[in-house]
Amino acid sequence: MYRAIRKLGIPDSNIILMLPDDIACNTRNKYPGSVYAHKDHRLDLYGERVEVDYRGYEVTVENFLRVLTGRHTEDTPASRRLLSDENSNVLLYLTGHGGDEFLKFQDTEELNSQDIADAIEHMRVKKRYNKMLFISDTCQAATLANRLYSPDVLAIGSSLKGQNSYSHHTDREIGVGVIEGFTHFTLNALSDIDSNSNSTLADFIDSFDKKQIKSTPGVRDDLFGDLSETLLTDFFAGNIKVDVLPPDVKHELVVGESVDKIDDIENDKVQEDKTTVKETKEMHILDNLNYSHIFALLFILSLIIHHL
Amino acid sequence: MISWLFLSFIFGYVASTDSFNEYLTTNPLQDGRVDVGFNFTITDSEISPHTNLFPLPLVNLLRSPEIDIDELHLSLSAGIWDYSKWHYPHFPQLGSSGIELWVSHNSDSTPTKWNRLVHTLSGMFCASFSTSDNAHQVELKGKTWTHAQIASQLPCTENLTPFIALLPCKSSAGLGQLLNPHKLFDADYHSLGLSLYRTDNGARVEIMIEAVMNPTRVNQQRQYSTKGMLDRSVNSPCPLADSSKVYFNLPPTPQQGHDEDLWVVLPEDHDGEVKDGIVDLDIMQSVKPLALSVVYPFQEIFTYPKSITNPPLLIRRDQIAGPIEETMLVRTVVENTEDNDRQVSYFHSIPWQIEPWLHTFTINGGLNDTSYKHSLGEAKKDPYKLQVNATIPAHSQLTIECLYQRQFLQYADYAPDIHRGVDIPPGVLLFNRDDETRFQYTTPLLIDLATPDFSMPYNVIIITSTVIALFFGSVYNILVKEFQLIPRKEKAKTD
Repeated sequence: MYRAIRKLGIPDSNIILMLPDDIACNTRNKYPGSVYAHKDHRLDLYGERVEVDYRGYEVTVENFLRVLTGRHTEDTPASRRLLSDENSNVLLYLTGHGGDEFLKFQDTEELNSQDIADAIEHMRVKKRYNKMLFISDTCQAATLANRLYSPDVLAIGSSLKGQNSYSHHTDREIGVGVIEGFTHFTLNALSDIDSNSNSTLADFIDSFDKKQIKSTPGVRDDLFGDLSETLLTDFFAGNIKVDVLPPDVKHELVVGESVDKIDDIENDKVQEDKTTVKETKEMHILDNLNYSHIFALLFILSLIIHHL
Repeated sequence: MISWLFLSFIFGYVASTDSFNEYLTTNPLQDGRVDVGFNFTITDSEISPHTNLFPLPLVNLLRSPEIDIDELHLSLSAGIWDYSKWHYPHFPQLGSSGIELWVSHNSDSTPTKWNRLVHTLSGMFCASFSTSDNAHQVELKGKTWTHAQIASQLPCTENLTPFIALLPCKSSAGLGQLLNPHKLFDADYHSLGLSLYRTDNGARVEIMIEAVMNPTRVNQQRQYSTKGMLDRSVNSPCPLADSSKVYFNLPPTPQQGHDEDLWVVLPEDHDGEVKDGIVDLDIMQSVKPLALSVVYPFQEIFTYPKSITNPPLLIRRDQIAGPIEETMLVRTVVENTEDNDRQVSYFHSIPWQIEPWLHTFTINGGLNDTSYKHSLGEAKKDPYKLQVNATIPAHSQLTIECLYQRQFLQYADYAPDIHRGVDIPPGVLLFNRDDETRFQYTTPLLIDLATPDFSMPYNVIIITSTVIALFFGSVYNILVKEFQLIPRKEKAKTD
């Protein structure tokens, strides 16, 4: 999922990735520094550039809820915070071992559906999201969304109550199941789109084939608006739209809120350019910094998923 | 307009002088392995947010009054540096296992500064420095240092990514191109290090990456090449670098009659200059992509050397079963293999889950000037720390022994994967060699705690409840029942 949304243009600074296991560099991994999601070993998910924000013992229910609600200790660096606002679309993706209304963390803790529902409501009150897509891939995943009560949240779970989520196939060389069926077909669906795609969430949900996935994905859309009017790229892709205005239009570039969201270096550049822009009366305005409004929180408890 | 731009360019150029130098060194080791070291040094004459080459995150770190850094060294390492065969790492700061952090502040160190620092570093390098709980003060080189270690965290691609991001040319030109995570993290030992110094008004940062490659692992052959070890080549120099060098150390000249140890450097027409057993190659001047190799034409299969030369000091720390089951003996042996006495200092910290029995503490083998200091730990907070200063006579050993008790912990104090054991960070030996402070690390230890079966409480609750229910039920049944005599009905006679 990390690779897929990176490919569709969401920058690392907008992704919070939590990995409790060191799969890539564990000495038992036959392919150091690599994680494969298919037995053909063509696509390395870890790649050569990856930023993991929470790892090891830091992946706890407490930290997960802190990231969602934004209630961190004072010292927490910006890269570990979800800096979203009321214009942000948030994608929340959870995978791991779970069951009826719970998801396991680190073999010692559980996150339950009420915690998720309350944390999301907390986010709504604090204006931390505009729309939210909550995907969970675990056994009985749809039950995690049972308690949700905040508006503009769409929840998709890989399997209904009483169903297991099975791995798609096993890599005999490593000896484990490498990818979950639901994630496999979701990534396939995402690989067909680019950041300008017109495909909608309704198309995405229609693409699920319960025979292939070996479980029935559960969708809870009663809190969300019209699925056929929401683009898939609103959650999975980042676009920077730069419009070039005709030379006779007079504009003054105001370094405003949206520009603040670019990192410091770019910000400096914009300020330096300001003088030049005024004199030549020609300007390129950063119209809509769309990408700064898409945040993703990926929580991957274990890429190696067996049925529970 | 143009002249203004031009002036500002000249002015900006004069005001700050910064430089970027990089080098790669490779050194064949006596057991067939090859030590590969990268150094990227960036200096700036002023610490200002208007920086050209100096990485902005580090400028912010140095300018932050809340963190107040004077000097900082950090390293993230995996594997064990084998001093007996490989002697000392190319970079004196490296050689540990896990995470290590040394920091000295301009003024006194406070918990607030420390917290701010470890959280900032955790965010910057994708590591959890904040989980360190063994920070302690050490006096060294006339400064007070805060030293912290975490044994259980090993570096991976997500840690290399931020290191590459600090380089002016990233991994797209110059020696940064060779930083291939798939090869570096496959090495027998690998370490990422960063040292940050203040100079007169400016600062200097050294980024060091060292890995011990094992070419004999693949086909039992000793021959190696830069291309084979890193699976990359330098195609273009970094235009921002002031210098970009490769020091390709050659193997020792073989002894008479040992034809199998004869070697040649390929390609023969390389761009480098051979001097004192080193091929010195300047990437800025070189026209060909970097590809140097050492080939042993008369050696079919690499045979392990029968004798190896030892470094001046050897250190070993072992865990031995104690007299009672919950105790264990930790024995540290430092051996001086040279003809001179040597002054050393040693320290280690043991997590609070393992408690020392101080009456069993002994030190043997040092001269009369041996001194030691214990700082006792505190449950759930501070580890036990030991610091020893001693002089070891020539060709003799210093032995430090102490019995430790593995504590029984409360339910919530066990780590999630406690069945793996508790990691104990490496012990650190400090000594002076060639007027330079050298570090030598012991191996980390993994200690098994008495770990309960965590499903046990539930089993106990269930069994006890069942027993109580049966017992109570039957007693209650007897107590509340009213017993009455029922007159026996006489059977009606049928006949």
